[in-house]
Amino acid sequence: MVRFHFCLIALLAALLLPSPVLAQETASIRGYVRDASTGETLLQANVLLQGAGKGTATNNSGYYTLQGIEPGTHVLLVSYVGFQTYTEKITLEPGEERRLDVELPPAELEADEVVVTGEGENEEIERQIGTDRLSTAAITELPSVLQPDVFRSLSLLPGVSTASDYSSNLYIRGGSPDQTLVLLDGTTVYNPTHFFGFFSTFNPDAIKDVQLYKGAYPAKYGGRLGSVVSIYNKDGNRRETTGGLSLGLLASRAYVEGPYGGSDEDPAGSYMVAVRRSTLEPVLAALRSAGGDGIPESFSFYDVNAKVNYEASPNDKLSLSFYGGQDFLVIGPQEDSQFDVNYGNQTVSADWTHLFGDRVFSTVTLTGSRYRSSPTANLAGTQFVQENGVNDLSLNADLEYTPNEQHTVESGLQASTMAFELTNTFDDNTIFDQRISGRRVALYVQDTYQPTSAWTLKGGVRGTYFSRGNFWRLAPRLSVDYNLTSDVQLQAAYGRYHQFLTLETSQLFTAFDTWLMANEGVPPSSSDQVALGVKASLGADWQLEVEGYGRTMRDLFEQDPFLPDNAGVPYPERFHFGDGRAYGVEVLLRRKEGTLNGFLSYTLGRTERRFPNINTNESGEPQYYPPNYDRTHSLTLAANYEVTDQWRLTSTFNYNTGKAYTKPKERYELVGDPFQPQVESRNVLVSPFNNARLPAYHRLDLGVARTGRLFGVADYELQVQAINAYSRRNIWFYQYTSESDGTLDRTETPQIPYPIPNLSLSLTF
Amino acid sequence: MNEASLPAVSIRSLILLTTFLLGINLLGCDTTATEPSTEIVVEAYLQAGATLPPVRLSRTVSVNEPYDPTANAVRDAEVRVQQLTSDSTVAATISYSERDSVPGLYTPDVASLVQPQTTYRLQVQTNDEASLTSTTTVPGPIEVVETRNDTAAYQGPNQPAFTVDLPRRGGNSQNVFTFTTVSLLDFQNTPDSTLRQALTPFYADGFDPEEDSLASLRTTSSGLLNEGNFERNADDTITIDLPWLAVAFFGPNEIGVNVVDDNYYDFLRSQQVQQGGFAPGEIPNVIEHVDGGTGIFGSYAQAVRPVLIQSPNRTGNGATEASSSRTPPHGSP
Repeated sequence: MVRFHFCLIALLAALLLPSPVLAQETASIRGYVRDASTGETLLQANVLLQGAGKGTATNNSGYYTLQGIEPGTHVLLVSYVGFQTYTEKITLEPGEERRLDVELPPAELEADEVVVTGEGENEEIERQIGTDRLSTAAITELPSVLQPDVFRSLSLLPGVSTASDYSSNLYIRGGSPDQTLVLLDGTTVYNPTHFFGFFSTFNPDAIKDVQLYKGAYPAKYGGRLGSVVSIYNKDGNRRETTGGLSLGLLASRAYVEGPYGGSDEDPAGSYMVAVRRSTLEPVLAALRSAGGDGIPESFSFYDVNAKVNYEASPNDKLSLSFYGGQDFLVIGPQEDSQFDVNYGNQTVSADWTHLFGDRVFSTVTLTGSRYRSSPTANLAGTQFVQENGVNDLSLNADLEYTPNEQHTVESGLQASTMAFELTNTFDDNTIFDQRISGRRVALYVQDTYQPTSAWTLKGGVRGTYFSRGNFWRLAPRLSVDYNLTSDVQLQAAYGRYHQFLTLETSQLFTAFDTWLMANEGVPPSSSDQVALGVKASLGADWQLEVEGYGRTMRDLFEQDPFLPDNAGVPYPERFHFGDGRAYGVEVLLRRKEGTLNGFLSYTLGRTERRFPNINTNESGEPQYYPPNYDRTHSLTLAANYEVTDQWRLTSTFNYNTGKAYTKPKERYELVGDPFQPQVESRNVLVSPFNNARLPAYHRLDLGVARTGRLFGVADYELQVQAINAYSRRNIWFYQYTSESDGTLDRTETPQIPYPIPNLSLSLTF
Repeated sequence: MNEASLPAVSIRSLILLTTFLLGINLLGCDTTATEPSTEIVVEAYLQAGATLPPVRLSRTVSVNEPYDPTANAVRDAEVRVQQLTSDSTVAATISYSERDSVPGLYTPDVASLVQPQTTYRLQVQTNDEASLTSTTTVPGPIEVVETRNDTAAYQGPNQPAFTVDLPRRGGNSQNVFTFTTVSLLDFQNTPDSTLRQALTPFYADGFDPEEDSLASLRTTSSGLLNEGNFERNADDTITIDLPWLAVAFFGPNEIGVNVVDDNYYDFLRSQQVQQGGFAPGEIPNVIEHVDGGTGIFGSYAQAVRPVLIQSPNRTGNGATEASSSRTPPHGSP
C-alpha cells in the first residue's frame, strides 16, 4: 500500500507540473460554449480542432480548454445535438492563450445555408462508457402519463427501468433506487418523487440538462453503489425575458426567465423561476359529489424551481438555485378515521466558478438538502404520527487543471454532514425516537490522459471517511477508450464503489421512505463494477452502442423486513445483511436527428440478491433470488416523426419480461391461534422466493402534437396522447387470500389497465 | 490494414464483441432454494400456568387444494412432550393420545401445568416413520399489578391503563408483547342486529355483513410490540394505556397482556410479512423452528383484566341489549 501511495504521488506530481517547453511553443484556447438564443451554457458540447486531432468536451459548467495547439491556422468546430455546428478559422501565435467563447444557434433557426458538420467527429462518439444524456425536448415530446417526467423518460433507456406504471423510482443496471445518486445542481435529493412515487420531482420547464451515469462512473462522484443522475437547472435566458404556460390534466406549469442588470448586450446576470402545481381539485370535487368512495378530501402537490446567476467578472460566475416541493393528502376512508400525509424536499445550492488563467477551472459549491414527511393516521381516536427528516449540508470544491494537451487533472474535496430523524408517536406516547448523524469527507483525483488521438485513459481514486463507525474507504476507478476507426470506439471501465446509506422503501408509497446509515456493526456496502462497450456511427445519422456490465454488491444492509418493531433494538440488530450481483448487455440503436428520429433499446440482464431467511435451502442457507425488479428482456422503441413543420407524431413501445413474484406451492392454516379470532385461521404459504414470473409487460403510447403561433402573441404546442393505446392489462402483482371454504383465492392488481388520454397545451411568450 | 478494409473489420469486431458480451449473460448461476413438498404441520401453544395444550398435526396441501385440518390430519402418531431441566435433561414426559372425535388432535394423557421459564420439547413419530421435534422455552410469569379506569367512556379522557410486572429476561433481550381485546358480549345468544349496535364507530363503518362476520371482530390483536416501547416505572413495572383502536365492541371486554417466546415471535413476525412486508408479490416463507416439519410449537404467558367500555352516547355498559358472557371465547386451542 505504501508503494502504491508513493507511485500515485509521483504520478500526480509529474502530471501537475506544466511542461515549460510545450508552453513556450504551443498555444491554447478556452472559453464557454453557449446557446446563442438564450445564452445558456451547453454542457458536454464537443469542441474540436479539425485535422489537428485535438478535441475535448465542455465540462458541467459549459467551459472548455484546449492545450498544446501548434501555432498556425486551424478550423475550430463546436457541436451540440439540436444546434447548428459552429466553425471558425483561427490563427494562433506561439504561446498565445486565447479566450474564445462560442455561441451555437439552435437547429430550428437553421436557414437553407449549408452547415458544416464534423467528419466522423460526432459528439456522441466522445461520450464515456455507461453514460447518457437527455434533453428537455426528449422529456416533453415523448408520450407520458399525465405529465412529462424526467425519470420516466430515463427509464426508456437501456439498463434503466421502473418498478411499475405507478412508480417513477429508477432501477438502473440491477440496482435498487437507493443505489442511484440523484443530484439537482449538485445537491443530493433524497426523495425525488411527487404523488407518492408516481412522478419525479423535476419540472421539465426548469431543466437544462440531465446526465445519467449508469455504472462505472468516475471518481468525481461517490456515495452510491450503482449510478448517478445529475440534473441541471436552467441558468435563465440572458438575451430576453421569456415565459411559458402549460396546462395539463394533472398539473399546470408556468415559468419566466430573463436577464437583469447591465446592458442588453452584456447583462449582469440571469434568472429563472418555474412553478408547477397539481390541478386535480375540480376532478376530486366532482368525484366526491358523485358519491365516489375513498375520494381524498384533498390531494395536491406543488414545486418551485428558481435560479439566479451573476457574472461578477469574465472569470467569475456566481449562482444560487433553489428547489422546493411538497405533496399533501387528506383522506378519510371510513368514519372515525383520517390519514393526513404531507412530504417534500427543499434544496438550495450556491455555486462559485472561477478561472485561474487558462489552465485551472475551479468550482466551489455549498449545498443544503432537506426532506420531511409527517404521515399521521387517526383511527378510532388513536393517533399514529411519524416524523421523518433528512438534513444534508455539503461543501464541494473542485479543481480542473489542464497542464498540457495530454492531461486533464480533476480533483476535489467533498464534505458533508447528514442528520436523519425518525420519530414514531402512538396514542400520544413517543414510542420510537431516533436521531442519527454522520459526517462524510471525500477526496478524489482523476486524470484524463490522451497519449494519442486514438486512446483516452481516465484513472482516478476516491478516498472517503465516514464518521459514524469511523470507516475509511478507497475506491479506484479506471476507464479506457480506444478509437478503433473514426467511426468505432471501444470502451472499458472498472470501478469500486461504496455506499454509507440505505433506504427503507415499500415501492408503494414513497412518503414513508426512510434513510438509514452505516455505523459500528453496520459496515458500508461496496461494489465492483466492470463494463465493456462499443460505440459505432452507422452513416451520418445512426449510432449503435453495445455495452456489457457486471457488478458485485457486498455488505448490503437493509432494515430487517422481519423486524416488527424497532423499539429497544440495538442499531446493528435492526438490519439484515446480504449481497448481490448483476450483469447484462445493453444495445442501443439511435437516430438523433432527421424527420424520423428516436431509438431502439434492448437489455438482456439479470440481478440477484441473497439475504438471511429468504429463499433458503434445506440447511437454512440463503440462496440467490431475483428481486421483483429483475427483468430478463427489456425492449423499448421510441420514435418521433416530424410530419410537417407543424405536426409531429410520437410513440413509445415497451416490452419487458414479467416481474419476478412468489407463486405459492404449498400451504396450511393454523386454526387455534389464541391471538386470532376463533373463527379465523392463520394462512401460511410455502414456496421458493420469487420463483415465477408475471405475464410479460408491454405497452404502446401514442401522441400527436401541433405547433404554431397563437394570435401573434405566443408560440403554442397542443399535445394529444393515448397511454396504453391498445389497452393491455399488465399485471402489477398478485395477492393471495384464504377463503372460508379452505381454498386460496388469487386476486390480480393491474397496472394502468385502460387507455388513458392526455391533453396538454403549452404556450411560450 | 488499409482504409478500405476498415468497415469490414469494424462490423466483424462489433459482432465479436456483441457475441462476447451476450455470452457473459449465460454464465450466471442458478438459484437452488428448496422446492417445497408435503410436510407435517404442528400446532400447539403452551400458556404459562395453564394445562398442557393439545397438539394438532396435519399436512400441508398443494396451493390449489382446499386445506382442512381434519381431512389433512396426521393420524395414529406417537406424540409426547418432555419437560426439560436447565441442563436439558428430561424432567418429565407427558404422552399424548389422539382424540377419536377430532382427527389429528392429540391431547395429554394426564393433565399437567405448564411451568413458566421452563423448556418443553415436542417429539412426534408418525406411522410412516417420519419424526418431528421442536422445543420452546415458556416465558413468564406476567402479572397485572394495577388497573386504572376499568370502567371508561369510549374515547373519553380516562383511558384504561394497566401496570404490568414483567417476566425477567436474560442478557440484553427484551420481552415482546401482543395485546388482545376480547369482547365478553354473549355472541351465541345475541342477535347480530344487536351486536352491530354495540360496535364502536370505526368498526361499525368498516363492517360489511356480506363479507365479514361479527365473530371475526370479537378478538382484536395489537401485533408484536417490544418492551422498549414502554417507559419503566420506578418499581421496574411498565404502564400500558389501552388504545381506543383496540376496542371493537362497547360493553364488557377482557384485555390480555401476552408475552411470547422466540418460536411464537419468529412465526408471528414472519407470517405478518407474508401479508405484505415485502414489495407487492414477494412472499418469503415463515421462520419456524420445527425439525422434520413446519408450523409452530410455541408458548406465551398471559395476564388478563376485565374492562367496561361505555358508549359516550349511552348510559350503562354501552351495549344495553347485548348480554355479556363472562367466559372468553377461547384460551388454548
